[in-house]
Amino acid sequence: MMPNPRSQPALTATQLLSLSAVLALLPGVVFGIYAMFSLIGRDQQAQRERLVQTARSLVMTVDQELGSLRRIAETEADAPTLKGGNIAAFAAEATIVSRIMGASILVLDESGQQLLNTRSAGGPLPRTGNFETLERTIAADGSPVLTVVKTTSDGALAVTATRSTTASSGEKLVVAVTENLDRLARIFDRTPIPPGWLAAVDAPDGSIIARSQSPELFIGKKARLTTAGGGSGLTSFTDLEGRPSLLAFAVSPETGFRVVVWAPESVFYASSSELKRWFGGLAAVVIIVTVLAAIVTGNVIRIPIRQVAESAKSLGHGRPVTFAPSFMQEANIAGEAMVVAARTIAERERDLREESDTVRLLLRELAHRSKNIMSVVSAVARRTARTTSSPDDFLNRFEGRLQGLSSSIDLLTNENWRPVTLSNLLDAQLQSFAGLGRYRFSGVDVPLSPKATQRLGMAIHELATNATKYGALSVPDGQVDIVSHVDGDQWSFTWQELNGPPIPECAPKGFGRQLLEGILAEFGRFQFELLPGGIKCQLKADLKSVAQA
Amino acid sequence: VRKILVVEDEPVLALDLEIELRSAGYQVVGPAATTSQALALLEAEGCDLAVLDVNLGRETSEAVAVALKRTSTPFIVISGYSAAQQPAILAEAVRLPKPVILRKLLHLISSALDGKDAAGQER
Repeated sequence: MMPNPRSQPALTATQLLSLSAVLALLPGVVFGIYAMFSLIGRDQQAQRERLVQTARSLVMTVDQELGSLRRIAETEADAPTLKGGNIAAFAAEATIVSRIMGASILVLDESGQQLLNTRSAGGPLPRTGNFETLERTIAADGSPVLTVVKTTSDGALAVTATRSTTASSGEKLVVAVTENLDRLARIFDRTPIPPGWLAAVDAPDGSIIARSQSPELFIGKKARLTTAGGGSGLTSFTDLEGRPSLLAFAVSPETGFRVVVWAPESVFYASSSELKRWFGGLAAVVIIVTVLAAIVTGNVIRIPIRQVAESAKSLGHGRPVTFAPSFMQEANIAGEAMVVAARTIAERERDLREESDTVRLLLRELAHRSKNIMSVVSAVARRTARTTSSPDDFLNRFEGRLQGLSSSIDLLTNENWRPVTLSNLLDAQLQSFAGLGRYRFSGVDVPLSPKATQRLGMAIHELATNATKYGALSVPDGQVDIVSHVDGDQWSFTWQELNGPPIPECAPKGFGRQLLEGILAEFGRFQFELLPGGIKCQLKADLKSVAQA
Repeated sequence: VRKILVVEDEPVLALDLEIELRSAGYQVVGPAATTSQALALLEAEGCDLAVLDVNLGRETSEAVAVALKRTSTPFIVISGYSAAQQPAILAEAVRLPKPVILRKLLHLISSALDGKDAAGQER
């Protein structure tokens, strides 16, 4: 378990990336919504205008159709044959016109008696049933009148243009040109209506005379819509199926016929809904793709970060750290740093281990050296005890020797147990005897190994002790010449006392002598001479054995 | 007179041992400061017993111990080190720690020589 280092709740890389991606998309989404609604608004405005435009253009078509009917009525009413009272000749002309135009032509007298009917199969012609139209036409006095009528033959609705005329005989006649509604219905073919839209033509009295869909169910019925004043306009209503719908109407100023065009809002706004669906889908796809990309990127980040954490854990536990390079540069840098850190720590630990091994070794060596020195001290004590006559004499000699030994060890310790020079050793050993001015050192200042330092130190101590007690240093003018000479790899060391008392009292005796011989023989050839001014002690040794032993 | 080989590289100790052993009535062979000196002395003079210092500067007295064992010559090992830090042949031998107590050394020498005599008589 990885403890959360902070108390506040933390989000994963995937969550943070998803959040930032969604936030980045937000302005785009807001703009998209604004643009969508603006587009929809414009589209709906255009649709509404198109609805009104369709109604207007349909009403113009209706007017054209009705206009041609009126013109036929005018032309026929002014026909010379009719005015001249030659009904038979007019009938022949009218029959031709009626066939060409697909309309029937009637002529009536003031009483409503039909004088001519191009549709009549023969036999006596009836009186008209429609006196209202007859009277209106006569009242209009030469202006054509448009009426929707029920045909006497089959009871179907038809549009009739009527016009009065006065024959040369002075008789008032009315010409009626009737056209069935089929021709009017064809206006919907000439002016196509978008799918899902409906259109109808209403007569001025409000009865439906044409309809783009299911005309058989509606023709002849009264329209529900009432429009006062005329012109054109737009209105909302609920259609027969209960759907909220939008309707445009246009009323012909000439004929009073009205065209209505409508569509359920679902159809009317279909493109808007489609736009909304498209936009919604697009937005969803963009968001999903973005979030998926964030999840993928989150994983790309999460895996190396987890690896870095594992490396850190390994580092903490002192286990070897490995790091496989990832796609994330920062993680690689951190991982690499951790690998290097692990290596550095391992090296440091090894160094520390080696150091502590060295310390342990040194301590062991120290114990060994201590025991060696104790052995030497013990031997010196024994030899001193065997060669002195009283405890005071023993203490005197023993303490001196111990001090000599101690001086050599001090010197070696100061030099970290590295080779010391002969002059250093002489200074250390001789400073406790007389004045250093009584000695004269000349020659090569050779280096001495620790072992040689210790042994030669004891020898010098014995020589100095003897010189102080019996030799040159026991008299005021006595002096010691110390000469160090190197010839190739041969070293010679000479201790010569000058101006001393006469021999043989000055020669070293007992253990001192034995010690000198024992020690100096260890290095090489050793010579001892008794001269008039004092003793001369000469050592010839291999330089290497002194410097390295 | 019994001959005792002394192998010791520290001159003061060697001198002390030589004098003490001689005054105890033994004949001292050496002292030798190196294994080669010791082996040469052994070859030339032989001995009845040897006193070996373990550490001889850069070498140990193991080779001398091996040579002594081959001739069944008893030896006493003197060392400032513990047995665990030494070659097996020296670690197993009769040992005296440094610094040496002379009385103990002389006692060990005489009993080792007595043991050798007894073994010789049995044979």
